[in-house]
Amino acid sequence: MHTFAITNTVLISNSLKGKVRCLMFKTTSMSRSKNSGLTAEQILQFSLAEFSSAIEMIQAAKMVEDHKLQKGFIHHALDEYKHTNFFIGLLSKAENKRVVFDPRLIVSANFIKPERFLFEQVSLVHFAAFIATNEANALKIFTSIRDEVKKFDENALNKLDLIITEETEHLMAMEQEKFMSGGDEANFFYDTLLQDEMRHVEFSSRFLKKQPSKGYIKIIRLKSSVATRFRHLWASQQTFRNIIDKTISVFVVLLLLPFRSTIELPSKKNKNLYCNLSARNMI
Amino acid sequence: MTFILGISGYFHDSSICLLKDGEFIEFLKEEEFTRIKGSKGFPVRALKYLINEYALTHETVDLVVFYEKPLKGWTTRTTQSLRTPKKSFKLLSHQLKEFWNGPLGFASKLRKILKISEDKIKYAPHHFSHALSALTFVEKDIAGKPMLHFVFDGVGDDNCQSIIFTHSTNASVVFEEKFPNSLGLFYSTITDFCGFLVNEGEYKLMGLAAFGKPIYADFMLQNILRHSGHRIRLDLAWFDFTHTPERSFSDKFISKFGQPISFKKVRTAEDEDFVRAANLAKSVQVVVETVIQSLVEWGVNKYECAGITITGGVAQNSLAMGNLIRHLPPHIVVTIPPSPGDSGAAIGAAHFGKVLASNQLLHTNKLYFGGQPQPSHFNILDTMFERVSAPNEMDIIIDELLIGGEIICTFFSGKEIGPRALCNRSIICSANNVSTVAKLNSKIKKREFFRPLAPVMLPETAEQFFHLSESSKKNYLWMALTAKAKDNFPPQYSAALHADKTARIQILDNKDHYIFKTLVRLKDKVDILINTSFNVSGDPIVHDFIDCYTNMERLGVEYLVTETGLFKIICPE
Repeated sequence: MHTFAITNTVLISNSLKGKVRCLMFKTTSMSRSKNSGLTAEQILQFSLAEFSSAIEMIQAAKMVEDHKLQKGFIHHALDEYKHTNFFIGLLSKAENKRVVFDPRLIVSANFIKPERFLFEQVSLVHFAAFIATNEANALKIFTSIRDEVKKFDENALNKLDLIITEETEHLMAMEQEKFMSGGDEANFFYDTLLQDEMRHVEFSSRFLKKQPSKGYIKIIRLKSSVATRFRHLWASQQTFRNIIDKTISVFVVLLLLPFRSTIELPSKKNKNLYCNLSARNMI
Repeated sequence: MTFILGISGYFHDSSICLLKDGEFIEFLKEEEFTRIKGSKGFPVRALKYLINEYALTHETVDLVVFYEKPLKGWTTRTTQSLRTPKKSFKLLSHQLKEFWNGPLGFASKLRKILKISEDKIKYAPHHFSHALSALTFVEKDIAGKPMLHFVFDGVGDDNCQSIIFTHSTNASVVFEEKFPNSLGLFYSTITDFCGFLVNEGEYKLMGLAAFGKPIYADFMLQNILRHSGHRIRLDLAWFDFTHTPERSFSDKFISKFGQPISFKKVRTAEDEDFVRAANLAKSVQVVVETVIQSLVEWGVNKYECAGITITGGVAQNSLAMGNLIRHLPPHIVVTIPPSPGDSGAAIGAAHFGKVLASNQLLHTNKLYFGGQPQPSHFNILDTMFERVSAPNEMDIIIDELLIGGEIICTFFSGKEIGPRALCNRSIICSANNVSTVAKLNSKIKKREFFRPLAPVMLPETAEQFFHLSESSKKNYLWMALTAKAKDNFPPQYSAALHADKTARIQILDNKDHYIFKTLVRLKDKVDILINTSFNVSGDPIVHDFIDCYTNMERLGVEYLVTETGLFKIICPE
């Protein structure tokens, strides 16, 4: 059934567009007016960022050959799903009733490009660096919203703290185990990814520094950082882009108006529908 | 060896159907690969999988058929909104973007991935794709005879409801209702108003109907969707879907029915919003059933046919389908395909390609396709699960688990063709354990409290406890219909029934299926199992062992039965 009135999905993706300060994978950076508190749209954005991160991790788990890495990606994805649920729970308490979580939004609001997942686009090292950069952003944001979550729902804050505590303990144990055993390259990445998930940005930097080519690591980290900043800048110019969009639309609609009647297609009647000739055209 | 591909996409639930030497061999949904439910757009990943798996090339692919006429659809929507350009500016703007990113670019997108010549790309009329998807599942002995196909849709190309007549490889449209007079868009508007996602939450609205009264039905039929004879006319003053993609209902709709409903804060059946939504759901259900019944009766009275099919997105309303069949004369054989929505229309597109290529109809009885476990993911079973028992020893353990109120996930080769879990990718438990069923519904699947769970049973159990349609019994194999419980329905299985004493039953008649054998073993102890889809709410059904693990971990279910044995999840420390 085609229902081109995409309604909720479009509604929310449109409402998000003005606020999203990130375009892809685990970039939860957003600007907030100082007195506005946490809005439903912002909570939705967090949930979408976490969910897109989970999807990217699941895809990485399905593509990577190393079994230990695979396991690491799976557990990382599970953490991200857990965070998604946390924000969905918070969203259910938000005032704006029309803002609801819809998994399809991660595509329409450009959080993810399902034709090419991140793991397919970049090397493993790039993947790790990208996560490190964006998890650092996430850490800043989560720290900054802590008080607002508390205002919003005291119980939710406890849950948020509990998630962080549990994961910190879990990852600290993993970290010790890996480093005690010496660890191979794959384990290093696994550790780095998990640390990113835990927002241990310092540790991820330390890990990247241990790579053989320090210059190369510097370059890719810089690249990730610049790319993230550029995406944020691009997304923050949504109002400007909307104006351009609208102008073009008005111009094209004005051009189309005189041809309204010619655009309408004539209807065909009583033809055998199995027609090879007719099947060749899009009308 | 030659192949024909049928493709649906760009609106919701993108899918591909593959025929090899004229035989139906694969059906894949894009969402299985992306893990994003309802994935739309061009099904890139599913196509790439098929290209690798079957070595598809220009030489081996005969035809690729798209499931609609994209230009027709685009111009219909655009010209409609050009009538009120100022009011419909948002929709026009959306349509202009669709011109570049939508289905009009299908051929170029396809040829970037699969290098085939332009003359191998065909376009099937949208409602004909729906009709042919249904014809694929009609019994072989009547499929070539005169058949009537009723399509109830949102909008496809420029049609909303159609009747298509087929006789062997001749087909023509005998009735059509043009956009915007759409039963599907009317239903979606109420879905949207009640706070459910359009193209996703319609089945929730259907489940809600059992709790309401049809207090608005007459008003709707007289004022909003005017029904006269077999035709309908929507009064567009009640709708916004012709003006904006952001909202389906208009301010006039709000002034009559109150503020839009949100289920975020609804907790009990006594909540004011719940009662309002339930009454709307019941009313729209009555309207939908009235319209469908009158058009079907009109069609079968006017045209002689050996059988009918009912398809299109609205045909997913199993309650309406069950009620329709109860009202039709028993000699009329009705087929509702396992996947009546747009996803299944890819099968119809492939069917269309087969007729063009060989002048032969497509037929299948198979309900499970593709989705074979990826060998590269078998290690997950070794590392993330512990083996409880081998296949030849697991029967006793599984029986004990089910009798003891345990919940088990199933993962067998071949994924269900439609949206319903048919025991290959299911979560099952005994229906006579009320607390387990309640736990499965609310704690594990986290479904809204008003939604029912569906039962699966052997044919003789279904005969014993449910009123079944004799001539259309096949539809119960893939849960296309609801059935009403008989008075002798055992109270211990009451958790399998909805509030209106109906259930969307699955009759399992495949003697080779492991769950069939399980039901035979458990006879008189557990006659009915609860069967729900193996996924976390809002996610696609599982596709491989990695999905099995992540979903089980998130759901909190421990046991997994597969062809290679019974496994227990190892939870992360």
